[in-house]
Amino acid sequence: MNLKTKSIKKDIVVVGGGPAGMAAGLRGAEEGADVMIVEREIELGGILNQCIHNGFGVEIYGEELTGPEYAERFTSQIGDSSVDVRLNTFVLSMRPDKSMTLLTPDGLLEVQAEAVVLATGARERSRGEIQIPGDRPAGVMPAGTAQELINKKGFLPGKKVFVLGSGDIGLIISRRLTWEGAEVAGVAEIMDYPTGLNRNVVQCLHDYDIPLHLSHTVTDIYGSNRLEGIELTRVDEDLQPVEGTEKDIDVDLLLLSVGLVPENDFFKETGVTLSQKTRGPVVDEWFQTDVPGIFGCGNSVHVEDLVDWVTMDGFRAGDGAVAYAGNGSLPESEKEVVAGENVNYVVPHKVSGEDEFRFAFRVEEPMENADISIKDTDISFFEQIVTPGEMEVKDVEEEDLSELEDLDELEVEVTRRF
Amino acid sequence: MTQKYDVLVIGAGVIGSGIARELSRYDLEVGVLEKKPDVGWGTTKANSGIVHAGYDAKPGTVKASFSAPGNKKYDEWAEQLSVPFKRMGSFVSTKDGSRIGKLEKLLEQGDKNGVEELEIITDRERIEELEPNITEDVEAVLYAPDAGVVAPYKLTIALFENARSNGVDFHFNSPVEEIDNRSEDPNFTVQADGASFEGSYVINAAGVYSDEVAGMVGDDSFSISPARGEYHLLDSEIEGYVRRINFPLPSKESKGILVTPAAEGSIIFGPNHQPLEEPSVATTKSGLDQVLNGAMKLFPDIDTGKIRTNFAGLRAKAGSDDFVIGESDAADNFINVAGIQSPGLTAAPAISEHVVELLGKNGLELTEDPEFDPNREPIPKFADMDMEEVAQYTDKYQAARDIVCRCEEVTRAEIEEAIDRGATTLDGIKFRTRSRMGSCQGGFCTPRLIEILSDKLGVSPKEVTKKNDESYLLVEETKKGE
Repeated sequence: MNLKTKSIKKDIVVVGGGPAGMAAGLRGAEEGADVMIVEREIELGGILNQCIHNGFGVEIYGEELTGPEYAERFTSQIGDSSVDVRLNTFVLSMRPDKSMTLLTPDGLLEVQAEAVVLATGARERSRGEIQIPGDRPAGVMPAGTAQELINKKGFLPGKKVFVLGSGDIGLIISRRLTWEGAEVAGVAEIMDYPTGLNRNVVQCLHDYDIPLHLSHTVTDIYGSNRLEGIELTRVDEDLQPVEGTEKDIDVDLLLLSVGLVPENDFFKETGVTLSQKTRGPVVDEWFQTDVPGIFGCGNSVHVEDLVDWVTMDGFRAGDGAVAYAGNGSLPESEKEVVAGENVNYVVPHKVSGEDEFRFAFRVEEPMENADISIKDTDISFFEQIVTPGEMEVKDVEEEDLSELEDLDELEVEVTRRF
Repeated sequence: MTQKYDVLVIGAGVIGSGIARELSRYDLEVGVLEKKPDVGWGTTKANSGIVHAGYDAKPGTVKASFSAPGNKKYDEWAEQLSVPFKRMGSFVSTKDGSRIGKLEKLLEQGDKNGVEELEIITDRERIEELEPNITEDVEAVLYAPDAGVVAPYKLTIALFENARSNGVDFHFNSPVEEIDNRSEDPNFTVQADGASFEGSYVINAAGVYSDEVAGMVGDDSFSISPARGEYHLLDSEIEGYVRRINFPLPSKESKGILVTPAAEGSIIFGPNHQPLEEPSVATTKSGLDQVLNGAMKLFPDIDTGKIRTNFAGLRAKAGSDDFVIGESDAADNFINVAGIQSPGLTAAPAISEHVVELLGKNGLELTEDPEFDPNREPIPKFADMDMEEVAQYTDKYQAARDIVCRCEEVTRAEIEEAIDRGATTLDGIKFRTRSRMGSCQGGFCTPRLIEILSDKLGVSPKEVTKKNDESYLLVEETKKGE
């Protein structure tokens, strides 16, 4: 093709150097595979680098780390490992045969991998997607963008702020802005419960007397140049604005924390089947997609609450990729895992049933004294409270596998125990 | 200090920029005064981007006389100026076979206006062949193969760049405040943002403000009432679902909610028609619902989950509902080009030529400039390159190996070139490169764009704006742990 397009081979290529990709890549290298991590930013760590608050690592390390500290535990290990890290590198095209074209600071590079792990993370939903009408001024942005501007670039994007959506990023940025001397006029959540973690509602809003307006949304945006204000309106049970409840609030910054969407472009490009629910790929217990040898992990599969889970997914996908790269296949996963009563979705979507596995899910409605079970088995778990804002993670142990033998379908359900 | 020009053009929309570019063929001093920081940011920026075939306007109207001739000039414009333009043809559809007479009337109107190859199709198979996903209720369509779509902002940027490289001066951030006219040459002194400009001729192409500008020379012969039109824009993933420009049967106010591919990919729905007292491009819930419902009448199964954003534009509607083109009765050598609502974009090339002829008749000496170059090179677009081109481009430019907008794959090289060519704001970069137009809508790339603009313009990041001085993005530096 070109004058000097180089071509190389790797056992495993991991796309994305955030927590999921770092874990997958590290595991691959530990197991002896020849691994490349491709990262488009100037450093590894992904979104962790802008999360300067603490609370990371409780599940894995039993201590509370900041985002950069958590990232550092991995970057230092990767630095000491054989992983070939490519920074400032962009995947231009990804093909189902696991060949790809990279744009690196030195030009184009063709890579043929045995296995690919797409750890591409998620993006924030935009104003357009939730269709807030009104003017189009400066001063309306996703909460994560504001977080980057404040924590990485050192600039405040506004002084009087309203936050739409009670997702974790919105809650954390509210506290951060308060520390910086900005006034957070309020947080609105269209649902009648907060969608972020309860600990964040307490530590980021309650502790700073920031009002949380449940069952409210932003219905208009004012200001032809810079944001001047918003219209806050109560919503009914069908989430429709209730006429007569509109209230104007003067602010110069509106942050949107209205959900994340898996970055699924490369899954689409390689013909991977996507889940309508998660918008990430359909995966098995190794996070392998239905295109053999292509794996996902972390937020590219489904949006997770804790980085610890993302890391553990990354290790699992790394194990899968090593096994695939070594054997050219993984055990067939023929048992479907499906969402039953009060379950929104479950990941993985299928398992082999031959090996212990972990499943993660979200409920549809909050529930107390909840019994989490796999239908037609004795496998069950108890939780005092489950809410859609908190992902549940459960392990099916080796000794329980015999219960699954005769099932073609594993239906996860959540019912009230009493 | 006063700058002297042969011709002063007020307004750098598609009309003002088109006229300026047409004037740049001649040995003339031409100045353009634009109140905004960039070209095409009034009515030009937000409309359907349709190059109409020309059957809509009533024969005998000014609109009719410029529509079909304007359409015919588009191939030349698109080629010389390198702007996205696709002639995919338009449908006017009806679900009611008894209303086929209305289509026939449009066809006759088109014949009179000089539109070629119009055809009424009632064969369902053929309709589906041309537009596979249109509602199965459609019984008849008027098919106009000459209709097309253009990216109106890109077109105007190209006209501006070409006019500028052929010697036209553009003065941005220069709202016209006052015009003195007198009977000896130079006939006009125009005050704009504290600066003074003299011109022998003035072209009033001030869009929704053209009545105010005319009023400055005592011309109150027309008034402009803005009418808002709202739109939904869909994700480019859905490209191909709609293949042609689709109109329902038109109503009195507008051509109805249309569903069309956009020139740069994706699909748009709109516009509705909302007369306003004061210009506003804010969208409304009721309006956007109306647009969506209108679109679904033609494409009931379209995936509305793919809506990426919404926007609104203005129509500059004159009281007569027709274009107002000609010398003012109140001031000699003051030419109004006003009331340019739809099909103004279509008519723009023909209007531009006509206005220059008009100036010639009014005594402006039109000596062709042998140096005139009609061609304008586009900013190389990385996302459209094949691998061979990517290899060459990235080999040549280090900045082309740095992708800033990941959704639309826009490189730093393109962004820097957009700034070199005149973008001074985030929106200016957006309209030139498509950065921030993709699925994340700028969530990821905005911080970097601020940095690049700040570096290139040599200003603090706090001075970088979205679209003008008031639309700042950053308010102050953080405490950085102090």
